[in-house]
Amino acid sequence: MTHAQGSASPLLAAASAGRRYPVAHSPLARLFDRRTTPALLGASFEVQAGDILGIVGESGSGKSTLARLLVGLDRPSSGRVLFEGRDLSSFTAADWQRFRNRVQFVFQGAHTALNPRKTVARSLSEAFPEPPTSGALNALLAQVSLGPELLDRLPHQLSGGQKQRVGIARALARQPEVLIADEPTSALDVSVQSEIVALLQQLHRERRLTLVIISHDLGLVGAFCDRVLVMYAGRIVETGPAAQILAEPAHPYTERLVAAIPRGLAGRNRQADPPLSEAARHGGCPFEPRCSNRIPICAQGEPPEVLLGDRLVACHLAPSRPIIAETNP
Amino acid sequence: MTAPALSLSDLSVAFGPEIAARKVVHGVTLQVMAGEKLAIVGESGSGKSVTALAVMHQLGRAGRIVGGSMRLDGEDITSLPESACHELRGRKVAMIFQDPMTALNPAFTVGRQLVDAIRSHDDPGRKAAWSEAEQLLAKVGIDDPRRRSGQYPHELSGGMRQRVLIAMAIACRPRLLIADEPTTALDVTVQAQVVALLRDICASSGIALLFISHNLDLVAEFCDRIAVMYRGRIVESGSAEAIFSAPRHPYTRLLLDAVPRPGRPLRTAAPAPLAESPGEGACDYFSRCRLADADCHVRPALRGAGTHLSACWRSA
Repeated sequence: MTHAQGSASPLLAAASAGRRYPVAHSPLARLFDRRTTPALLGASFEVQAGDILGIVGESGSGKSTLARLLVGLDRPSSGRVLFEGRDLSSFTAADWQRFRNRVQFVFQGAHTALNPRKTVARSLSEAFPEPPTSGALNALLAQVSLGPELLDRLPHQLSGGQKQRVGIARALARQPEVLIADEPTSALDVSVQSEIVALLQQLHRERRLTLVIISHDLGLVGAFCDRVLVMYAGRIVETGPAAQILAEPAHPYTERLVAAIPRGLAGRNRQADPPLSEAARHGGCPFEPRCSNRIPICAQGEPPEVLLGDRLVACHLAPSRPIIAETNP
Repeated sequence: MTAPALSLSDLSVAFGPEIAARKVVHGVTLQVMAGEKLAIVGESGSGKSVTALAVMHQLGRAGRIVGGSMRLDGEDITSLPESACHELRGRKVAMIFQDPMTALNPAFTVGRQLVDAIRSHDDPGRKAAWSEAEQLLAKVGIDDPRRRSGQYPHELSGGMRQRVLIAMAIACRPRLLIADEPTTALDVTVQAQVVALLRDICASSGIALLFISHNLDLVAEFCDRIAVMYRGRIVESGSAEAIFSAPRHPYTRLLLDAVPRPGRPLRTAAPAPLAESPGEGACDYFSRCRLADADCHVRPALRGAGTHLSACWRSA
């Protein structure tokens, strides 16, 4: 925490950060097969201190890759990821250590993120820089509303919600400022899910924790986050205030996501979108094959990012959408 | 009046050895008519999956039915020899599971697995089975079924794998289809498609559907009736409209409030038990209930006028 806090630079930022992965699985095969496949194509955005940012998109849209880049678990193959204005790739070992104290990650899958052979106490102890006292462990568990009796348990003796709380506690051990959570509630029941969300909200309130939540559940993200980033096929297709995006999605993909949220009796007898070809399109808009509003230009060039009020939308049709223009302040 | 496709009366299931048996389903009574869609909703451990597995005779070695009876199309299936179970599964009852990846064999093409399912009962011959497989794939909305049937599970997306499993499940024209959280592993857009497919299949073929989920918003969209389970008992049951618009049991209300819905501030569930349970014989929800009082030391039975029943002393 010795770095000067440049007031102008955001806490975390991505500048056209992209990531390609080799197609071949083994290092040997990679000598002969140099093909790569893009998981993330140039994402740019900023996270300010105290924000709750949601990243949504379907499987394969690149949201987990983006999260891994943000915490430095993976390096971008193009573009940059910046922490307080400094490029992560220029970090020294000491910088990384400081960074890890301040930015922590909660892994996807409460059931698989904990080592099944380690007790809760051991899993948590490893998150501290030095072996913690039992008082410190109890205090850490108390932060996630768990009692000290769980310390000697193994993961299989915990419920799904308890496991997820331990996962969060582990990330809180170093008192980070930023918590990045990959699908924190996807394997949990709705009632447990709402408890975990309440916990994250409380941490945000009490410790001014900056949160980045990755999820495919737009309902959850919309109810919880200030800002939302919608991803499709490795690109950010829409960003903006969560309430606005849910009320009036500007990108046709966001529109589909919003329409697919189950809404109880109100959603009775609604027709689901037909499954469409999943063929990836090169050259044109990535969503063009699935889009019901497409026009000829969509197949030809990638759409530009258009600023609509507080929102950025990557769609050829965005500028001509009348509803948005009216709601802009 | 015709017999219901599935009728459970006072069904109880226990696990573990005889002397230390633990009951996990306590006297569940429910009916599903042909073409009807019933949802069982509840949290993990509420007994919803165990109820379904009991119908399939898939409780494994540790589990067994300790009370009540099950009828399928009027025929008693409570205790069946293993040979009859094989006939039951697939032919009369089929089940689809949460994770479409682990339910398919990664070493065989999906066409081969579908053909095996078709040929396991009433073998129509290899050629006919393959053409039937292609028809089934087309029926569940898979484009280019000929090409897809030659592909392996890893070559298909999650939604497509779930479609293949639905095709396998309906291959032998069962009377009852049990879907155990079939959309939990899927994206929301794909979830909506899979649900629409299940709805269409029930409507066109008259298959009864037992849909297990923890998401009330999802099941209220397409199921006719809902049964809410808590700790092995049905605590509320009724039409989807009644349960959704006028929930009576506090647990049902908690489930409804827990679903994140756009345009509504998130209401959150009580995290820890509120009170110590007064012991055996009390309402199971006592420790989590905000309305609990002395009456609740005695467990309420399911009651109510008409078809909307609830097991709560506080419900009007």
